[in-house]
Amino acid sequence: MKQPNQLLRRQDQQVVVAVRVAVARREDGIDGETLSQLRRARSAALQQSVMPPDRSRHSWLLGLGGACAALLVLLLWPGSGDTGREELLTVGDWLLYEEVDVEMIEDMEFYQWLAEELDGRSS
Amino acid sequence: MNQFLAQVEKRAFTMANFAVGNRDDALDIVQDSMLALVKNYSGRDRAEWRPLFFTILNNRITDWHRHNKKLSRWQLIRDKLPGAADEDDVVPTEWIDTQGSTPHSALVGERLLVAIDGAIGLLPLRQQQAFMLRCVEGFDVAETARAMSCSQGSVKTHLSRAMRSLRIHLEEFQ
Repeated sequence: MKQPNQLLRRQDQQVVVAVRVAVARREDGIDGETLSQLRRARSAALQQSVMPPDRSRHSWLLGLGGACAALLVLLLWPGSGDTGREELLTVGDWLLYEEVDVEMIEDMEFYQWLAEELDGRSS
Repeated sequence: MNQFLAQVEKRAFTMANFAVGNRDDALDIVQDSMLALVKNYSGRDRAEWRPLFFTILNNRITDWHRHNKKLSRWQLIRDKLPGAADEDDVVPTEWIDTQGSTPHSALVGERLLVAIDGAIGLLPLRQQQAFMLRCVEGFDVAETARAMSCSQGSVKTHLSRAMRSLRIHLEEFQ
């Protein structure tokens, strides 16, 4: 007498066999039109593999790479970058970093103007 | 690649046709799967093509069902609207008709195959995919799980349920 598990296993095997036969019958019964369309689909897929790769998909990457390279060159170029800031500092650093008496500068400017005026009159 | 695709195209079409119940959509799914395989994986080792191809195929089938589920929800809402026409209802009776058209004089084996064929088409998608990959295509549980993007435990559950449904159909003929 067969055990329940054995019976179940045997039934499962029968199911698998029956399904495989049913699937094979279906495959054999595929009509000519469908087979022809499947062949065309295959050819179209394979055709794609011999076509050159689409460059436009990567063009944005190339553009981005170029822009990054240009930026890098600008940043690393000798004489670029901090130089401008250094010049600014040399021009006005005494204004920024030293304690300056503004009144004294105004007085000096006045005396310089006065001297120029006097020179002009005497000459 | 040509040889490989020629080997699997009938099986792929049959699986897709079982899953979607529509010849034209099944053809589209197979064509998309072939294109995706060639485009993305033709450089891979030949031994990898088969599991990759059936993974792509199953993903396409799942996408088709998702898309059509959305459509069928919309159909349901539309049908509930007043004045909706009853003739728009599409009931998948293809399998029942096939079974019913079998002549009484036909052999029991023939009827059984027709019934099994119909039963496969009526299985829920995930059960059908698990059964086809594991029992017809011969993938092991791990390969089936990868192709279905789920756990091995899920594959076993789907398989068990599919087997039980199909067994019931088979018992009717014994």
